[in-house]
Formats: sequence, C-alpha cells, structure tokens
Amino acid sequence: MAGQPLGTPAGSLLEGPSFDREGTLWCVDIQNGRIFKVTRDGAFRLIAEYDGWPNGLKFHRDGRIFIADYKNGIMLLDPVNGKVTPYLVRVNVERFKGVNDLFFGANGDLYFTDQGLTGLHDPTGRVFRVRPNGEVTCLLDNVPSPNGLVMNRDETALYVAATRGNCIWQVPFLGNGSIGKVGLFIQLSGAGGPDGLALDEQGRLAIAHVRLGTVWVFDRLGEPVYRIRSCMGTHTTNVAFGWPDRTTLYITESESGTILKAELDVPGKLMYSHA
Amino acid sequence: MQNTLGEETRVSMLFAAPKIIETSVFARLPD
Repeated sequence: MAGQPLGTPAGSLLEGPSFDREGTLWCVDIQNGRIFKVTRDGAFRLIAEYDGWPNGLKFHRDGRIFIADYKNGIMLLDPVNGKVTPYLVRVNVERFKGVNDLFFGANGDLYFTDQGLTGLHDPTGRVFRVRPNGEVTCLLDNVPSPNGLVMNRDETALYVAATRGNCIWQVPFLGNGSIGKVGLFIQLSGAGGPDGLALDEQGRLAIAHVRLGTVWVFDRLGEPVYRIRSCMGTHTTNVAFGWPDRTTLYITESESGTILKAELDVPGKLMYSHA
Repeated sequence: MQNTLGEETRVSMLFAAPKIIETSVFARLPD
C-alpha cells in the first residue's frame, strides 16, 4: 500500500472482523478496498470493493455498517448495493491522519482512532468520540499509533492499543464525559505491537499482537491469562468473539490471508449492535 | 534453573506464565 511502512504483506490485508446480528462474520481487506462476508463454512463473499482502505468495521444497533477507512475517514456501507459513503471525513476543516479502528459504547457513542503514521517519533495519534447527536470530541492527541479500542466492562474507561508504544492505554472517564488521568494498563514487548482489541463478559481483554503471531488475554486487573498462538503467520491483526455462542474467538491473520479461531471459556461481551 | 550457557540463574517472574491456547483455520481468502 502506497505510503505504508515496509513489511506490509502483499496480496491482501485482512482486518476488522465483526459479527452482524444474524451471526455472520464480516471482515475487510485494507489494501484492496474490499469488504467481505464469511459464511459459516468459511467461504468469502465479496460485498463491496471501492476506492478506500477499510481498516475497521462495526455494526450500529440500527443496522448501519460503519467503516474506519484509513484513506477517507469514517464511512457507511450499504449492505444491499455495496455503496460506501462518507459519514465523517474531517473535523471542522481538518482531514484525518488515517483512521484505524472504531467501537460503539452502550449509549451509542462512537469512538475511533486516528493513527496515520504516528509512533514514538511522532506521538500525535488521536482518539475521537462522536455522540449520537453528532458532537465530535478529540479525547487524546498524543498517542504513539492508536489502533484497536474497546471499553472496559462497566464502560468507565476506554482501552486503546498504542501499537508503536507496544502497550495498552487506559483512558478513564469522569462523570461529565471528560477524561481523567490516562495510564498505561499493559506493557507488551517484542516484535510489532497491539492491534485489535475485544472484551469478554468478565472484563478480560483480548489483544491481537501483530507480528508476534499471538493474541494475549489479560484479566481485568491486567494479569496475563492466555497466550493464543497463531497456527499460520505472525500478522494477527484483530479479534472478535462470535458464532455460535461467543466463546469462540475469531482472529484475522493477514500474512496468510486466513481467519483463525480459538475456543475460550468465557463469552465475549455483547456488542452495542447486539445488546 | 540453568540458562542456555549452563549457568545457574535465579529467575523472578512478574506474573505466572499464561496458558497456551492453539488456533485452527476457520477460513482462507482465495488468491
């Protein structure tokens, strides 16, 4: 992909696993601008192919499909005709650096990361919130490569993967919706860094560690519980709990162009789209 | 325990080692 760091796999780049209300898995292929449904027997069905770099995908409760598109901004996908249209492509007059992933809170607030090419050399990645009334707030503007994000179990804080810091930030919310003292929740090490995140019903955090071929599961206090190892490549980019009972974790592995699965003992927390 | 050079070492662990879980392939994107 033009303008992306070296080492990006050729051919395709799977990301954004997400389940719709019927229990069907969707995912995106960033560098080819493609969005897929994946049937329960593992067949890919192309839903959309457009001029964009879809990086994350989430379902709204009202059926809308939101795309975090690195090239364009936050987009909407019409699942019937495959058309992708803008939802939020700038704040005031400023375009985004390159949005990466998104998450809906239980009240319909939309959170998304604006990663671009930020890193420790340029820690200016941003995290935004969009209220259901359209109010847009920049919550953070100093993250080294903000990537996946998910709220904790009682939605008093947001976890943000800071890929180039190789860590997970914890962003607590005050009663008025503003943020409190931001802290470092989990420090990882080794190749790559944390990418997509998901939460289970116990508040345990699943972290896709890209370039390490691993998904970590940490408990709600931040102690490691599981290391889920890829049986394919090392580009474990994102995760989603899903069919049949949300105890199966689905993992996009973009080096081999596969979706992996692992059986866990606790169901994933219900997403906003399903609650 | 011994390190790879055969030297006796003392190891302190911040956390217990996480349990390993294996994966299987659910779907593969066609070429």
